Amino acid sequence: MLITVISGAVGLAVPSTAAVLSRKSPERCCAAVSGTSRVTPTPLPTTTRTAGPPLCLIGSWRTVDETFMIQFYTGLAKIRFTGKGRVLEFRPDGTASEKQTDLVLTGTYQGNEVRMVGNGTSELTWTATDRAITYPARTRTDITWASYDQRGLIGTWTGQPDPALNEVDDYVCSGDTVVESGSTGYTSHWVRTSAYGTYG
Amino acid sequence: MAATAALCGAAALVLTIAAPAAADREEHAAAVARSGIVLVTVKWHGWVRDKVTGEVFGGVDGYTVEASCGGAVVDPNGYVATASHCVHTGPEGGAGLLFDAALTDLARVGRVGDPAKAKRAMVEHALAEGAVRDRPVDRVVEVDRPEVDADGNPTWDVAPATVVDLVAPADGDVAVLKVPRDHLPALEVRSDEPPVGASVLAVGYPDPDDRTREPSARAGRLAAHRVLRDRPFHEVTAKTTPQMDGSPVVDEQGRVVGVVSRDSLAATSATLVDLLRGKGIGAAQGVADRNYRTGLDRYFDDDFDGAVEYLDAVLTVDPAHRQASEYRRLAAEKGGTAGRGPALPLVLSVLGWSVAAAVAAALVLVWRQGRPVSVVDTPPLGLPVALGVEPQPDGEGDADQAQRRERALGDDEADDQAEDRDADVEPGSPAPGGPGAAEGDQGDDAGERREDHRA
Repeated sequence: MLITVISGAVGLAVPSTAAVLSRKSPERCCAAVSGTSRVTPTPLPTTTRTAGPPLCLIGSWRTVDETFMIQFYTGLAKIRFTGKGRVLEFRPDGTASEKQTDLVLTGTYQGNEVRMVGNGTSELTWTATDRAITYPARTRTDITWASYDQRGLIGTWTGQPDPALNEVDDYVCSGDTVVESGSTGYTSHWVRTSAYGTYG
Repeated sequence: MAATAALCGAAALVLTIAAPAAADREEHAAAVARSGIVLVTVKWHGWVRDKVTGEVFGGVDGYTVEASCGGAVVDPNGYVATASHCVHTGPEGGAGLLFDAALTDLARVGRVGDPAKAKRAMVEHALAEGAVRDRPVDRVVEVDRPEVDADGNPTWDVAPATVVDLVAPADGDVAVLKVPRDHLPALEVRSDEPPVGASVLAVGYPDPDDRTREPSARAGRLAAHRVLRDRPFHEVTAKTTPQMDGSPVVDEQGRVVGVVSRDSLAATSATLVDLLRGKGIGAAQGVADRNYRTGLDRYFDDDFDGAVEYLDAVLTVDPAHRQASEYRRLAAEKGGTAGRGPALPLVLSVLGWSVAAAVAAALVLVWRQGRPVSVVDTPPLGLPVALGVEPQPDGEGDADQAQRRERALGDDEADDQAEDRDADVEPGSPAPGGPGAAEGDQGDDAGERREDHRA
């Protein structure tokens, strides 16, 4: 019995003593970290770049409803023509193009229908603010117009480049649509197509 | 069978006591890892230019975008590991974010069809640049670390960071950053590869905007080893958020085994180690890290005094160490006190040695009192004459003396001792884990041999 008691006591004491003796202390090293003189981040630099043309105008468009006031008969008042189907492309480099494929504009004069049929393309330059488009020049064109009234074809006309075009139109671009209007009664509604300027 | 069952039961008991529950192991590993977890915030400023059309997106002021990733301090001298796609300027990094900003603008004006195709088109045709054509975008990298202020309130240290080196996102997706700080809490980087099936934790901030919470530890397993473009990756099952990209994946000891990449993949620590070595970075832990680990070991071993002692040592060097502060508080709440030392082992040690010494002293005393009896073989002084025994031969003399000592000790103790002696000599049932079971088996074999012999 006594041997058992001693064995038990020693059995208790030895590992406990070993635990006490083997117990290490924390390592010590260095001075406390100071947070007072820390380097803090610098903000992003403020840089700017010349603005490009309005994002909304860039792309390709098809006219869906247009109104023009055109001098159809020499010496008479302008006639209101309507039509649709011009294809426009506005590029970020300040150039634009207009393409007409059997574009038909129709109007009425003294109860008779009058028509203009256009074919060909034009190249223009353009700039824009958020409300106005300026076309400084028509740099190239091969558009031809054929004019018709109740008598049939009454004449043809070929467009000419115009380095001093300087046409200024108001516009409202709302994503997929543009409404352009001019001071001479010109109004044109465009819808965006995916031919140019879109992603995905 | 009973002995086997007893053994199994004992073994199970030992395992239950020795091995902490999985939840405890996870919490322990998470506690180790959380000390080195950081938020990597990258701010980008630039424009996007379509190389085909020349169109520049971003207007006058350009785009400013910000992204957050996780990260881990892997060297106390301010080195931080994260995913390279968090800081890379290419399409998988900052340029990709600027592309996204441009696409948002384009979508607003109807110039985006399928968003995924649009992104691919942008990656293919566009580049991100600074205020001057073909110059790099502006990038500011910050590393945010949770700390506590002098009053123990949570705060954040926001440090500027530079990109020391990286392995491109499409390659190994690891980057090493440097912040101008010393003695940072750092995690140990494990250089070998854990086996498939190993338990791991992805530790980071699922929602970087919520700065009130501790880093989340998402448990999972290492599902597979993968090799992508000649680089090793771990496939892990831990569920992470995109904001946890760059966060460390740690093993059950809280050691970094990977860096969260994308699509359940983690870049391996081997890639990280190569990167660090290439820059001469040792990735060694500091004194405070070792003390912190030991403090946590003590804490999870319920040695709260020891935990307080070690965590105090951590806080002496780094008073802002949030995790040390938190576990120090928890240890104190559970009774841990500074400077008290190892109370239980000390008490047991003193008690054990005292009992052993007292009993040994009593034995010596009795032996001295009883020595004339054995020498002269006559009734000793003070002892009853009639013990009911005859003089014994030499071989039984010990029992004789024992019986005489019984009288000196008292009847009850003598009974106990007699029982003990009986127990010593009886075959009895084998003690769990001792040689008894084996002896029993031998006995069975011996019996069988005897039976064979008889046959």
